[in-house]
Amino acid sequence: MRILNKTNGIWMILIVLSFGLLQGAILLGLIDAFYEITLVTILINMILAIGLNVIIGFSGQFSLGHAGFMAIGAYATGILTKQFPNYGGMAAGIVVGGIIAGIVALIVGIPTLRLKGDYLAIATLGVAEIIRIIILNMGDLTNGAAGLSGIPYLSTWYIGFFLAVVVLIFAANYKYSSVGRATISVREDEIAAESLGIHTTRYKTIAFVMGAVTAAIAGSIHATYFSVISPDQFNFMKSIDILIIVVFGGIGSLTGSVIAATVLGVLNVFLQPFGSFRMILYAIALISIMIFKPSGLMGTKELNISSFIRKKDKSENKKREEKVR
Amino acid sequence: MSLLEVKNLTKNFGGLAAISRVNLKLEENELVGLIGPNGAGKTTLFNLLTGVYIPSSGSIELKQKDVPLSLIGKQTSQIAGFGIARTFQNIRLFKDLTVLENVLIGLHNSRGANTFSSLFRTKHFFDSEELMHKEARELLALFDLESKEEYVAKNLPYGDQRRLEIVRALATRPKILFLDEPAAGMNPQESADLTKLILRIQNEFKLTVVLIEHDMSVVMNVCERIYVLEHGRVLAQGTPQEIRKNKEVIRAYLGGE
Ligand SMILES: Nc1ncnc2c1ncn2[C@@H]1O[C@H](COP(=O)(O)OP(=O)(O)O)[C@@H](O)[C@H]1O
Ligand SMILES: [Mg+2]
Repeated sequence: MRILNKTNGIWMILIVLSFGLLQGAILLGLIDAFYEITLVTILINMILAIGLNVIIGFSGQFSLGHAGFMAIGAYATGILTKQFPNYGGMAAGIVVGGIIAGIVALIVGIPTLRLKGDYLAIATLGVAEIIRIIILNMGDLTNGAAGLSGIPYLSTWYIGFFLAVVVLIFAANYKYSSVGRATISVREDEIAAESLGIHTTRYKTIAFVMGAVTAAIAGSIHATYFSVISPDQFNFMKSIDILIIVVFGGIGSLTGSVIAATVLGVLNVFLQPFGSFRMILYAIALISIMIFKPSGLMGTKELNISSFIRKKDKSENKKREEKVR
Repeated sequence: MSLLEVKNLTKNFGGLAAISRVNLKLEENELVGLIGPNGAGKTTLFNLLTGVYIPSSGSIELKQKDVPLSLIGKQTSQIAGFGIARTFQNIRLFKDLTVLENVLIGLHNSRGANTFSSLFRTKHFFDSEELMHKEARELLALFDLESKEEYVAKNLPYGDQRRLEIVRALATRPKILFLDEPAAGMNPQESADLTKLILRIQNEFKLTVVLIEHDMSVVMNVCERIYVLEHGRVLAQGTPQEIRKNKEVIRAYLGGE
């Protein structure tokens, strides 16, 4: 427990430090308005990738419809904040979006996750498309293909940062708990997990719902930061973009997702001047990294501060032992 | 009634009757041997009794609080929850997880904190984690694996992997433990140690153990009763003395000796 607290403490310091660095860079003008958009995009992608990683990395289920759940959050918050243009409206949007996304995930998850195999991938592919079509056809409420505009600018990078940290903490709390281990055991060997009394469908569903809810949160930030949303922003390619972040960072590694969202976001900025050539360079960069590190930047491992501490503790212990001798 | 009663259990794979009209009874706290040539249907029987396969016909009843409970149509996880644990002929550890994690997962069903307390890190969460770690280490210690708790399961020597799988099954606190060739791939010394250990846990945990084992000396020496399976049928059953004298068994199975 002592090491656990020490680790948490160090993570907290890291989080506060990165907040301070970002804030400093903004105050000094190193991050201008344009880069701030990049920063918020990175934070939104981080939340999306962490959520998708809970589904893919922990429970081993493949979801290809993450953008659909993001759309639910974005539209719930967009609609509500246009009615109530204040933080109360935004909070309500996050809650309502999260609940709808969670319910949709339950409806999709319970029948498909009973089955062994990649049925979720097919189901989510369809569901994301259905969500998009429903949004397209909801008349004045969603304003069809043109989308919603004039959503109040309620989100700031502070809110993005705060929510990214909250989502990361919840995902980590989940991973390092008995339910998290149970979920990971489903990924590792479903039959063995069942033989130990683990209700595999339940844990696959929990992970899927958590992923869906966090995607909706990301959508809420997106709507209230960019002010304009339309159905085509939440298409299949968006789901693939998120998937790329997860794979690139390492399936199952939360810190991998954080790093990958950042690296790819920054890479995107550097490739900006290359115009349409950018996508090719982006692809080449991705492919070359996957060749050198096929399991992603982090593999399934986390950036492990506690093992670093433990190693130090051990070497100190050794020194102490040597002294005693 | 007995702890577990199986009547007329049959499993067909296409045209093949892998298990055919098998009757079997298990009493409390006994060690039962299950023998038979390769392909006799031993593993299939375990898979039927643990809900991995659905029987074609027949009944399986478990005594729960003195009332028979049918296991037909129950999910593997439910059956495990009723107190039936197993190991696998082809080891099925969570091989990328640590030794300790493997055992903790076995403890999850009975001891794990729920999702809410885990996400919000309530006091209940920390209490339950502490209790689980303590219990997991105690179980590992029984099998002299406590010093290897941080090893990734796949990096363990083969014999340790087999033993870890037993520890993990024990973590579910079963009443019945099915062991599918636990000594396969072990050297004679390891195998002998394992046999002693199985006897010990059977006593300590008041377990009913069903052991699939090819080493006849082990089966004849430690099992109280033996079932002999051939072509999916029970060829004979009884005490080691009875089995040794059984003409059918001698002809079909022990004939070579
Ligand atoms: N899932 C399956 N599908 C088809 N046939 C199977 C399956 N499982 C087992 N069998 C067949 O059932 C028979 C019994 O196999 P098994 O139970 O593994 O025997 P044992 O464990 O006694 O060596 C074999 O002929 C095997 O090929
Ligand atoms: Mg077998």
